[in-house]
Amino acid sequence: MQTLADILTGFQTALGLWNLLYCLVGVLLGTAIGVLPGLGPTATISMLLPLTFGLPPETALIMLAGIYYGAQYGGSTTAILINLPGESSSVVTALDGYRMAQNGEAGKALATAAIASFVAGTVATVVIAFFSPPLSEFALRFGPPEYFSLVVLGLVASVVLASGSLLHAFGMIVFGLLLGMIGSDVNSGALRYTFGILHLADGINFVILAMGIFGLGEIFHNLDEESDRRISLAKIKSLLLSREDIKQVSAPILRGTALGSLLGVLPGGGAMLASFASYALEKKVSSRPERFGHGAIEGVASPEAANNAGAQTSFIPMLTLGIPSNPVMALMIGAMIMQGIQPGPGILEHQPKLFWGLIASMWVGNLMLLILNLPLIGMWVRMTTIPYRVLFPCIVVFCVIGAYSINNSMYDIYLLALFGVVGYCLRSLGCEPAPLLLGFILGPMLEENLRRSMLMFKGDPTIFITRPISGALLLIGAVVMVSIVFPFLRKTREEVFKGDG
Amino acid sequence: MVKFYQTGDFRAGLFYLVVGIVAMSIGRNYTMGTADDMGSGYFPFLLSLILIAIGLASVTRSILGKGLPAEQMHLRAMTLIAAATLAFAMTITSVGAVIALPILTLLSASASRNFVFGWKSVAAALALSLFCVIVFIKALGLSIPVTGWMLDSYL
Repeated sequence: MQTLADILTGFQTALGLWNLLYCLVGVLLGTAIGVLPGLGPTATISMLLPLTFGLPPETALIMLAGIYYGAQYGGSTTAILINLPGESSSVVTALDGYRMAQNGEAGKALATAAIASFVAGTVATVVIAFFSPPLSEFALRFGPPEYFSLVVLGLVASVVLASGSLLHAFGMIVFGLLLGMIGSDVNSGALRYTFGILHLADGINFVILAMGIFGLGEIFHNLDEESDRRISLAKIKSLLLSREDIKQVSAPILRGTALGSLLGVLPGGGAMLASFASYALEKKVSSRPERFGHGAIEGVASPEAANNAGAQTSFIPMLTLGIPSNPVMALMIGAMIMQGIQPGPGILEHQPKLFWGLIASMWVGNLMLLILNLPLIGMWVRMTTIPYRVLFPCIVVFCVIGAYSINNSMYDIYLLALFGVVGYCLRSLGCEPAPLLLGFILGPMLEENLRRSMLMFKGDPTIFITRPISGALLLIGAVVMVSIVFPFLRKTREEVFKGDG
Repeated sequence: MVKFYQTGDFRAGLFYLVVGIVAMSIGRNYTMGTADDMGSGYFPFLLSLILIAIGLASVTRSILGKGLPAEQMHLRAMTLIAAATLAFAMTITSVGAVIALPILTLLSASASRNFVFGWKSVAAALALSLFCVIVFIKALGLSIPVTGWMLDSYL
């Protein structure tokens, strides 16, 4: 009953006029950037973060969350219509979705994707509402050693998410952790790695880091292979599904939702992994797997459900434990900290409006996407014709304005340029920078909990293994590690990332 | 045949080594403390150590195995856009957004190989700048100087 009352509070918050409006802005922006290739949710959210500092925390997070799941919708629209996955999580949708479009079933594919996403979004919202409170309660019993192990697990698992070499993923984590050390030490107040620059005493702002690496760094990379796209647009006939279609897609949608919800919760999971895994699953359970890749409607329904479910349930570890499972969640945590909210299990208790409002807004946002998206498809498709040479200067300008507005300091702009260059260099060396951001955000937390645990237990490192919860978390981390190194699974991981540009 | 020093593994390994060694040598000045009472230098020391180890592993792997060559970097776009952002940083307080923004836009747009300088690109840059001034400064109230002190003295 309590849950019901809480959900009601959530809807009261989410349906407030301003929250509703910002939710709408968020999902529209999200869809737009989902449609545009070369601009992802990480870069967009970091660009818009400085603008949200003046908003109440729940409004800010509602909008930022809308951008994230809105992007999943947008990405699939262009994947189906023009074989251009705007987001990495919709790469799979393009396989069968574009084929369907070529077969004259574009409308059917789009409707399937929209319905699958909506069903998955609804189920995932319920999953979040029911699983977060017990998890929060459980996490409240965590002491510093448990938190230390939890952060370690989160970092190890983020390696799964990174494409390319494992060694470099770890290198990026440790580099990120070191960058997180810059500034004053919370315990002693001593300045560390500030290079005598006063501006660095407060540390590097995470927004600058994210914009530099994911905003500017991406642009440098994209300009290497700049080309003018030619677009042949599929005709949309009918957006209605027949009764037979609905029968055919309902089981795949449910399977995708279940798999996506599960993979989203795991640290290191999220939308992309979910969509690849559910496509593989559908192909396995299908009685006629040879149809996949030639316009199988299940090949659209299941991954679309999975990526939306995964995108949403990845909020669970962020909201209940304060542990981000992907770069977008890392930005959300950063946004909370800047709003003066301590992320972690206390959020549910101390910020019920934020917690339940955000959850309720996800369902509201999904509904908006379902209603708005199909009529607006023409507009989204036209957006893809915006050439990159027009798009990227806008991104640069928004990044620079965002960076400057944080402190009105030109040092931040210098840092922005520096991290753009660093991000580009790292990418060219085959180092995927996503784990870097996680390391950077989690660095101070990791150190703090390590120091406190060692203080409590007189410098005995074995407590991390002997305390049951902490030991279990580390064991999970070890299993994850082994499973990646293990050749068979490693191969699947590489296959999963092969299509991801 | 890819030489080992052309691989991403080797270069990234060098990068880790340099960062690790620099971090460790700067960190020498920080209070180390003991395991049960860590000073500000303890954790950074551990991190530097791990990064150096990763660097060594990466370099070793590049020498032993057949690594992939590092991607060719194109410095033109990077340099132009980095220069554009620096130009903005240096001009914003003196001449304000009305001049700094068009410079930023045009200079970064020129990083594209398809960029053509002409009245179209200038008009687009001015339009974007105007949009930013109206939306970000006027409507959203970001405290960015519209006209800097240098222009203000003339106005």
